[in-house]
Amino acid sequence: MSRFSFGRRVAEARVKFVEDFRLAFGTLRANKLRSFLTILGTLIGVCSIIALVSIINGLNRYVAKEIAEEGSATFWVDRFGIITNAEEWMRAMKRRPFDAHDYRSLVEGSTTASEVTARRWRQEGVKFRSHRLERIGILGVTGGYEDTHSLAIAEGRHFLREEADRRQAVVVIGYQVRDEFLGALDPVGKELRIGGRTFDVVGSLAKRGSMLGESQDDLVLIPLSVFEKSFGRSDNLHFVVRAADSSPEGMETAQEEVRAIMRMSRGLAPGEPDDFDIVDSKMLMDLYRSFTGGFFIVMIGIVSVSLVVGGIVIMNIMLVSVTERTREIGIRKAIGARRSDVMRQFLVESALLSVAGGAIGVALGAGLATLIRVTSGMPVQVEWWSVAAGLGLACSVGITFGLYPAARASRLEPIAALRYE
Amino acid sequence: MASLIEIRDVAKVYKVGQEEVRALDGVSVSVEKSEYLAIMGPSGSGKSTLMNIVGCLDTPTSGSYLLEGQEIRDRSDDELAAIRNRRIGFVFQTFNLLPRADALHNVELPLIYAGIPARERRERAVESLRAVGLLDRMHHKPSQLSGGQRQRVAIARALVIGPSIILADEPTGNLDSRTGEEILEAFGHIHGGGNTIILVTHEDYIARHAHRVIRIRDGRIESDERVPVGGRQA
Ligand SMILES: Nc1ncnc2c1ncn2[C@@H]1O[C@H](COP(=O)(O)OP(=O)(O)OP(=O)(O)O)[C@@H](O)[C@H]1O
Ligand SMILES: [Mg+2]
Repeated sequence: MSRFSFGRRVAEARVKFVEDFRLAFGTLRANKLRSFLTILGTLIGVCSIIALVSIINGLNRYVAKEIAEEGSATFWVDRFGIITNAEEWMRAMKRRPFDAHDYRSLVEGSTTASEVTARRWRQEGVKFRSHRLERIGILGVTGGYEDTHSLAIAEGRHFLREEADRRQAVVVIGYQVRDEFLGALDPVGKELRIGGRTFDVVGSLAKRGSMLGESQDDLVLIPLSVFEKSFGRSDNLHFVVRAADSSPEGMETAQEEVRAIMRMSRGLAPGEPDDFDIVDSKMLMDLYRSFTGGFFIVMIGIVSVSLVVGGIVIMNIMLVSVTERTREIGIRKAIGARRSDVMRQFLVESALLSVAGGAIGVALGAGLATLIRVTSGMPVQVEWWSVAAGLGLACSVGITFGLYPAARASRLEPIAALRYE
Repeated sequence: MASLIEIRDVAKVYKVGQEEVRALDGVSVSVEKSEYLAIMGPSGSGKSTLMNIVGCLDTPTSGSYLLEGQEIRDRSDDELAAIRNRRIGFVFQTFNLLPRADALHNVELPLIYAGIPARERRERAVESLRAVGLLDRMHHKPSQLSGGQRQRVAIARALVIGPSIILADEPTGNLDSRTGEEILEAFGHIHGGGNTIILVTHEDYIARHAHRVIRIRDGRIESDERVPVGGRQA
């Protein structure tokens, strides 16, 4: 008996649900403009969810890959470290710049590093015959740099330690420089002019692509010794160290040793703070995470505000709709609609409104994400969970803010509703 | 055995500002199964108020109303909805059709709230429209129908679920007398099928179709007469 009546109840509920949906679609279609304006809030909210989640995740993947490429076994020793505010900048500026003595101490004193590279960097014009490129990154590095950098060679070779020691004017050129100067020509053996000096091209780098819209291929590498002869020693000198043991413990030991050597080389008394910083890819990743974490919080704020505003708009329009349709509600109640029937009818309508807004939002957000992928080349991808979350949120906004109007409709007395003019 | 409808000392009082309007003032009446009852009286005498109470659309201020021996006052909202849905068919003077739905859908409506599946619903609604002669208008909206046709849709809606009681509050009030006659003929058929009919009207010729006439004045029953068989029209 009870099983029979339960089955019947389910069947009856389905009949009514189908009807509610038909009705809600009809109302939506009958008031297209009004419906569209009503759903703008949820539309914008869900669009932001989809777009921002895919962008942040795309960025995450990208940065994780970039940082991993920089190497989990290398770390930087720098006068500046990670600067996040003006105060830190001022403090770093007061530190004594690194010098050749610091470098020699590291190279000679370290037992845990397999390679230490010193480097300086500046931007200069580069000339090939009559053709000139401005603002190319000039990287002066010591020999053996290929062990501390992930720079793949496309043609020719890296310059050698001996060439660097002999201060030979040799250069390895980035993909973009090669491409713009030489096109399909073989770069090896060509001559470039940088800072009034002629360099022999010994190799070119494979394409590295762009990072956050910045090309990574507009650079050339020359020996640090030649760099200093041409441009002096004013550009910041810093070191890249490769730990012989790339395990987390190995990295830790290597960093501690480097710290001790640097403190000695720079004459720091015990208890004095370091006047240099050590930065590894894990720290960069942590920094990036805390940065995007803040971004996520801002995003949640924006999304919540637009969803709440969207919900209030829906509630307002549903209240208007309930008033407009008072007679209809009276008729329905007079022929047997229960409170729950009326309630459900209006809830389905507000939920459908907000889900429609959510669906358009998903489409626009996905479109936006695709646009960003195509224009920036970042691996931006729509996350399925963000689509589910967006639609789920939209639906619950519709139901939450539709509750009050629907309850008001359901509580109308049949005779009073029928008399309503 | 209890009467089908048993109304005892029912009053309905409306408060308008400071004033009290006694729309019904101590009405008692019993109606047996298969009766054909007409309620007459001047405008404002309380006919509609009484009908709305009988139809469970409204509740009395005091007094008791037993439907099939059960006190209506004790019924929950949902139980009242079920009574309106299955046991009572109400025909209004102003039709009260849903303007955006076509005739067929309007007639289907009570079946939807009874939870009847689409195919069966459609069959029964079509059958009901056939009974009132509107098969060829089933996809017309109310605005595309004449007054008489609208009222016939409303009757089809009242009948579709097969309620035992049909209540009609001036069903011909908005119609010319010839159309009115057609509608009354329809009620005659319904009554012939064993239903109880209560009908409100101003017109004597309409009341003549009934077997019993109750006259109301100022919220009280003035007279309650059985119509001799000879005085009746079909
Ligand atoms: N909602 C209401 N508020 C206040 N007074 C009301 C209300 N409904 C009805 N009345 C009053 O109750 C009395 C009876 O009204 P009712 O509608 O029952 O009359 P009626 O007999 O149906 O009249 P008619 O033949 O004109 O339809 C009237 O005096 C009316 O003014
Ligand atoms: Mg009336």
